Amino acid sequence: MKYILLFISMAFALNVWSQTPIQVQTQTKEYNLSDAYRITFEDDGCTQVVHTRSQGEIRIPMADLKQIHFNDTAISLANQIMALENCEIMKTILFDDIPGLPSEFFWRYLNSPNVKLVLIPNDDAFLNIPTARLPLTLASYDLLSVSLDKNSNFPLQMKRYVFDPRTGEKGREMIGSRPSQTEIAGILQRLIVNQFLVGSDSPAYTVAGSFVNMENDIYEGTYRKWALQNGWANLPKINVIQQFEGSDGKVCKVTDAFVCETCLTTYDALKEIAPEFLKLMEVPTQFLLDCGYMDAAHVADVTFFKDMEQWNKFCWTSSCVSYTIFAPTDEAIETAINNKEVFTWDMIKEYKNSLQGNENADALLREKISKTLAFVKRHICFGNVLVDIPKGNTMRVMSCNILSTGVAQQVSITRDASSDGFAVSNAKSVPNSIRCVREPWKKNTSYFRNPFITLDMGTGVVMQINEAIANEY
Amino acid sequence: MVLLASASIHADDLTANLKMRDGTVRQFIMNSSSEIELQKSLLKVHAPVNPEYDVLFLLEDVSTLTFDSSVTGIQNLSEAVLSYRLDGDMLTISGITDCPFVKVYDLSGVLLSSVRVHEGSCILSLASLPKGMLLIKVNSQTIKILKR
Repeated sequence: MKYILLFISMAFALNVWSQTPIQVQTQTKEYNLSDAYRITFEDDGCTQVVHTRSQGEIRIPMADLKQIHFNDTAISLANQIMALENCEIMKTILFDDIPGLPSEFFWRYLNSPNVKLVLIPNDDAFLNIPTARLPLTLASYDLLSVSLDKNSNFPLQMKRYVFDPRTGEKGREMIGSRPSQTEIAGILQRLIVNQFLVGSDSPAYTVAGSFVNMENDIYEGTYRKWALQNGWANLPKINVIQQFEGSDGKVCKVTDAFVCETCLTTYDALKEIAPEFLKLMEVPTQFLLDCGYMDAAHVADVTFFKDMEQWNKFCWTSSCVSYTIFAPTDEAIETAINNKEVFTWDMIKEYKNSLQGNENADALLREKISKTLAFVKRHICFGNVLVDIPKGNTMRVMSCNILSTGVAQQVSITRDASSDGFAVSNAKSVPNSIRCVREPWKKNTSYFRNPFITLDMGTGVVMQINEAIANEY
Repeated sequence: MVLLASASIHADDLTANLKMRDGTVRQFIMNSSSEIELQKSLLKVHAPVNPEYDVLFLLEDVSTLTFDSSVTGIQNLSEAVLSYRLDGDMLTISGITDCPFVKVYDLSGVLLSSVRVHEGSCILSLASLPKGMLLIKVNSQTIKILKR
């Protein structure tokens, strides 16, 4: 059966290329346009102008226009997923509107040009989903089991079981700890986005920040990899059961297990790849309060990490769920300091002491603090460059974190065609320095016996760049 | 059939009628200065008078697109029509059936706003909503608006 489906899918996919995306039908003529990209209007809306790449601008009087027809050419991945058997749970999550799980959330990833591979765990995979928090300990393991009841208002049920990753043994159900609907939605949202893979070379990474090794159609997420490093060899492997390709070039593979999540935090990633930049992000807010740079109400405006002593949580207050931090290397930070583009917080504190008796002390100190905060903020951008920017030297402009003046520097970013290198304004990314990160917090809602993993997720990318981004303001 | 409130029709209004593959019809009232961009999988309506907002449709959901000027109106359409227009930060939605509230969510599924429907219409203020994708649930359909 799977080979018949595969054949049908391929036949459709081949047929796609011979059709045109839109037909503009007038009273007398029909235009088949494969590369129309914009429609504008002239003469107060009496003339329609269709802009095409190959035929230039086509002007059509509105009175003459019958309709623009969009061919149903796209045998999209979504169409094919809808036709899958034994994948009812995944289809329900992806395409039905379940409270807390809007289908548009996943639509964004299904349509992202950078998502090359979509894994669809089948219904059997939903029965046994190992979960763990980091660092991995035997106490941190659970097994989730998800079932479907289409007749219920909330069609997904979830049970938790004791799980021993050393033996792979599924134990008793944890009675009295069934997740609520809100928790189920949050857990599944995070699990499912780990099935969307960016890039097609091994190791690939998921849009939620897990790396995946791929070898001969056997997939291994970082979760399993880390468990294996602990000597626990019985976590299930991920095997591909069926695969097909959408007309948009995306590949979909039905799997018998989940790529389970891991959680590399922004703090840990920066600690590894850019410790000097991390020091700049550790803003001494008490110092800023003491020297009158800001009042308590605006602490969040300059704080990048909250609760430093306890959790080192990256403070991302934007409504956007994703971010990219371009962290200059330690050498680049040193150069920037020498060029007086930025000052360490220790330097600023010393500077404050040296200003005693100076009547312009406040203004001089503020200038240095503002410069340092602006330096940090122009290295933090809205959006996930791995998801939002396609390979192939496409230049995108992204907004940086907003300054206290309400403006944000724009940064132009180009992604290489052949590798995962980025050109960022005047700088370049450092090879092998890209880390997908995820902040498993935002609200103080807890689940899984874990007081700090919560429902919202901020996902991001941290990478080293060889030079600091120049100030353009 | 739904009639638009005459007060909301301007001289240079242009109505984009989108017949969706699921049989429903959407009307988006735009302006002759509006632009429609056809990207790989998106149909994006951008109006210079509302630079902060883009109205988005998935191309695979759209079957046909026709236009009417405000003069010709919408008399040719017999299907139930969900109609909306964006005027500044105000989104006016008409043609709402069996839906006592219009709800706005962000991409994470967080409910941002809920507005009661009155006689099949409602007016949503988008001013206080956060930037990013806004998903407006109405009549079992979703209006997608990107706020910049």
